[in-house]
Amino acid sequence: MDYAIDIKEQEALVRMSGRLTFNDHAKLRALIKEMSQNAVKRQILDLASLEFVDSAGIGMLLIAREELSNLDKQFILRKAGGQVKRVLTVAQLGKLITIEE
Amino acid sequence: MAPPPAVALHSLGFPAERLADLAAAAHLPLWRSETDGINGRADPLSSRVLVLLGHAWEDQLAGTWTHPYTAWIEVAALADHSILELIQRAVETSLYISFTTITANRRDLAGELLSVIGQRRTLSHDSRDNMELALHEALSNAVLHGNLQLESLSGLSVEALERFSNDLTGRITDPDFANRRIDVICNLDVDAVIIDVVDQGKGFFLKPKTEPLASGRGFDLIGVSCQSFQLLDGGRRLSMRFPV
Repeated sequence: MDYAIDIKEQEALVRMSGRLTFNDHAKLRALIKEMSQNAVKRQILDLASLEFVDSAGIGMLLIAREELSNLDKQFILRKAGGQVKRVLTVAQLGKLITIEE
Repeated sequence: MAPPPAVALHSLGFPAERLADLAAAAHLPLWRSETDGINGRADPLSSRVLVLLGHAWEDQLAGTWTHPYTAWIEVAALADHSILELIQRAVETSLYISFTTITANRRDLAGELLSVIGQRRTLSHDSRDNMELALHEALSNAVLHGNLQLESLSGLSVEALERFSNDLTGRITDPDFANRRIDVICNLDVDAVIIDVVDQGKGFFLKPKTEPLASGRGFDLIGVSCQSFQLLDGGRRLSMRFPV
C-alpha cells in the first residue's frame, strides 16, 4: 500500500493505492500519526486506487477512525470501488465510518 | 518413444543426490526440462511436476506458478520421511502447497495460487476475487492465529496495533513457531474448486461477535466469498468450496 496526503484549508485528502493488508501495519500507524497531527478537522481517505483490502485492513481503518474521533476529527472514506467496495459493504463498515461515493 | 511421466519430481536449490534418493523412494521419475520432458510428447496439462524447494529458491519460484507444476513443497528442516509424506499428499491433490509459516507470512500465496487455478479453470472476475479473498483470509488466520498463536487485537488503538505487531515479530523470529507448516490442498473438481488450508496451531472455534472490534471479520468475508466452508480437525483445517 502507498499513500499521498494533500492538505487543503478545510480538509486533508489521502489518496491510498495498492493493497491494504496486515503487512501494511507500520505504514498505517504512520498515516494515522500524520492525520492526527495535521491541523485540519476533516480527514478524507480516497480509495479509488486501492485494489484490495482484507479484514485486517478493515480493522486498521476502524483504528484510524477511533484515534481521529478521540481528537474530535472526522474520518471519511470515499470512492471505494470493486473488491474494496464489496468488502466494506460485507463488513458493514458504513455503520461505523462515513462512506461517500 | 516412451510417453512422458504423468507425475515427476523437480527441485530448486536442492542437492541432486538427495533428490534422486527421494524420487526413488517415492517411485517418481525426475523431471528433466520442459523441452526434454514434456513438449512435443504430450499435452502439458496431463503432466504434473512436484517441486521441492531447498535453498535460495525464492527468486526462481515465480517461474513455476504455471504448467506443468502442481505442487510446491518447502523442505526447510523436514526429514526425508516427512518429505515423502508430503510428496504422497501432493500426488493425490490437484494443486498442493506446503510452506513454513515464515514463508507463508512473507508471500502473497493467495494471489500466486489463484494465478495457477486461473490457468486451469475459467473463472469470472467475481469468482476469482471471491476465491482470492477467502484464501487470503484463511491463510492469515492460519498464520497469525493458528501457527503463531497470536491473540486478536485487544482494542481499537494504535497502541493495540503496535502490541500486535511486536507480538508478531516475536513469534515469527522464534523457530518453534516460524517453522510450523501451512498446507494448502486444492482440488479442481468438474463443478467446484475445493481449497483446504491446514495449520499446526492449537485449533480454533468460531465465537459470536459482540462489539465492533478491529479483528474478527475474516470469517464473515470467507462466509460470503465461498459456497460453503467447514472447520475440521478442531479448527486446524478450514475447507472451502467454490462453485465454478
